[in-house]
Amino acid sequence: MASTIVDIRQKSTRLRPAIPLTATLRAEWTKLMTVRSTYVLLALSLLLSVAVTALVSWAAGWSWSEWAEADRAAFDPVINSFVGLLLATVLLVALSVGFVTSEYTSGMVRLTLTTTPRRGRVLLAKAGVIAAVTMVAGVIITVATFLTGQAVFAAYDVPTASLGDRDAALAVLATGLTTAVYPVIGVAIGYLLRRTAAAITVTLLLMFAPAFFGPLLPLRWQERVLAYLPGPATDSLAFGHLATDAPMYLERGIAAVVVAAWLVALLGAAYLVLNRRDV
Amino acid sequence: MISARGLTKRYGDKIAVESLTFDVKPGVVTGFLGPNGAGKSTTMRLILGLDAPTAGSVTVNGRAYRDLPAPIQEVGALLDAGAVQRGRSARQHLRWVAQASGIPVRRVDEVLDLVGLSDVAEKRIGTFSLGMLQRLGIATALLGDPPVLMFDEPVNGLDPEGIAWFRNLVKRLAAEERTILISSHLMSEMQEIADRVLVIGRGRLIADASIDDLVRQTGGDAVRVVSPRAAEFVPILEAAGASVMPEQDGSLLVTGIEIADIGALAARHGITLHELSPRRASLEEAFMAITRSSVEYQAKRSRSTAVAIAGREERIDG
Repeated sequence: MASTIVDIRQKSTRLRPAIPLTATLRAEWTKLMTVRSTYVLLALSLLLSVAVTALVSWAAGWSWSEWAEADRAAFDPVINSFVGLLLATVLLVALSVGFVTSEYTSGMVRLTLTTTPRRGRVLLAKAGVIAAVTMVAGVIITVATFLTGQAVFAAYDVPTASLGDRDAALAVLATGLTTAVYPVIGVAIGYLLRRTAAAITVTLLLMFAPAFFGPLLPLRWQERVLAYLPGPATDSLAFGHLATDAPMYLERGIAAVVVAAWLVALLGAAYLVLNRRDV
Repeated sequence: MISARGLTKRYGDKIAVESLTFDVKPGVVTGFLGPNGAGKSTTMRLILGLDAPTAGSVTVNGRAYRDLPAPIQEVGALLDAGAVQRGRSARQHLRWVAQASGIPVRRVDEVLDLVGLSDVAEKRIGTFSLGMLQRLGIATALLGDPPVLMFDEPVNGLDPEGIAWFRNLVKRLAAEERTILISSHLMSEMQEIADRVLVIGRGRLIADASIDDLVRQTGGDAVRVVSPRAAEFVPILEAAGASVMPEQDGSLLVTGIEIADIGALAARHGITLHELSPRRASLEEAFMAITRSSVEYQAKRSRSTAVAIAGREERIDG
């Protein structure tokens, strides 16, 4: 109580140092790590992606003897152990979108923005915290699904890959790190739309639509348009070197630029809207 | 010090506040009064930079809120105590606010203690009652130990004990020379704690005065007279130039005449008095008087909007 009794007149005229960006990052980190849903979604991402990978790998192994020679030759044990990661990405998008939109639902966004009125910082800090958490989670989950897949393949005499192989290790690491791309896009879309369901839907459409509808389009479209959408570009960045003849393949350097451009464009749009809009 | 100059906010073609010009002076408690929907919360959002004004400006200690280097150490605000995420504990909630503002985290326990929430610091906010949420909101406002404080309807949801506690807290904060702005539609509450009042109705400033001036301007003080022969006394008082209002309990509310003259009149006419007491006009009555005149002003322009305001006032009465 005594602490509040100070000379207020002296206090108000004192020059205060500006608050550093690290303060905003620390606050957003605390917010993310003090709600149960964060842990639930992270745990589910790991469990479900490992389970789905195990199931799909088992199905491949079980039917392996009936596969055509050409299909066997085209089988890639690395990429095929990543199937379960789709689920992890969906759950991590739900985590990142909710991290933003739940503040609008509860109204707490007004406290966030009075505490940190430089709104770009809040956006940057939320995106940064989500990127860090989903990169670490992504690498752990990717390694887990990779090892699960290889273990199942080995049990059925299906060809396997090992982390000792440079291309395979690079694919696992890059896939793990690029797991963060959609969650960060989710932060931007969360601020643009402010509604949980709408933002998750739009983010997932952006993610899945090219994969679903792409193969229905002429090859030229796939090469010239779809390859530059965030999903295919992220895939090229993560494991494109394993399948350079795929229609939506981009070279790693180009893919990195395309992914970065998408992130900058979406976060930039979110910044402009957030900065101008009444809360 | 909070200064508004021609502050105007429109949402679409709906005017929320219009041409507000006022200063919330340092070291005093200013009540911010008006019926629900008058624009009090909008004004507070504009002060905090949450909404951008359509025209005009508002500054805190000479700067726009968004330009304050350490905002919640300059202005502490409680807008809507319910607007918090329920999954965290009170301590965790205050911890992120402290971290975001560069406030030492040990300050969290100090403010929890200050508002009496130390025992439930580890409990989920979701389990809190309305009164506890209100205390948490007040703790959040005090976290940065700011020289300027703003509370939007702070006693909503507080029990009588909580209201008394809040009143004491405000007195103590005011004694520390802080600038305090408290919005309320409860006039009686303001009379207890505010030195000055800003009154708004339909987004416009109706009054900016000390409570004493306001009460005096709007009819001043009255005298309560209780007599078994009240009916006989009324014409005598009126003949002496007083105006008399019979109250429901049979007493008379007399204005326009000195209390000593009432006693003298009673003695001269041999009328027994059971009570002769000065009654200070309440802020409530003053408020009703000035908002009524604003309604009349509006009525000249549009009858339907006047009815809407009158309806709002009735709800506040009840």
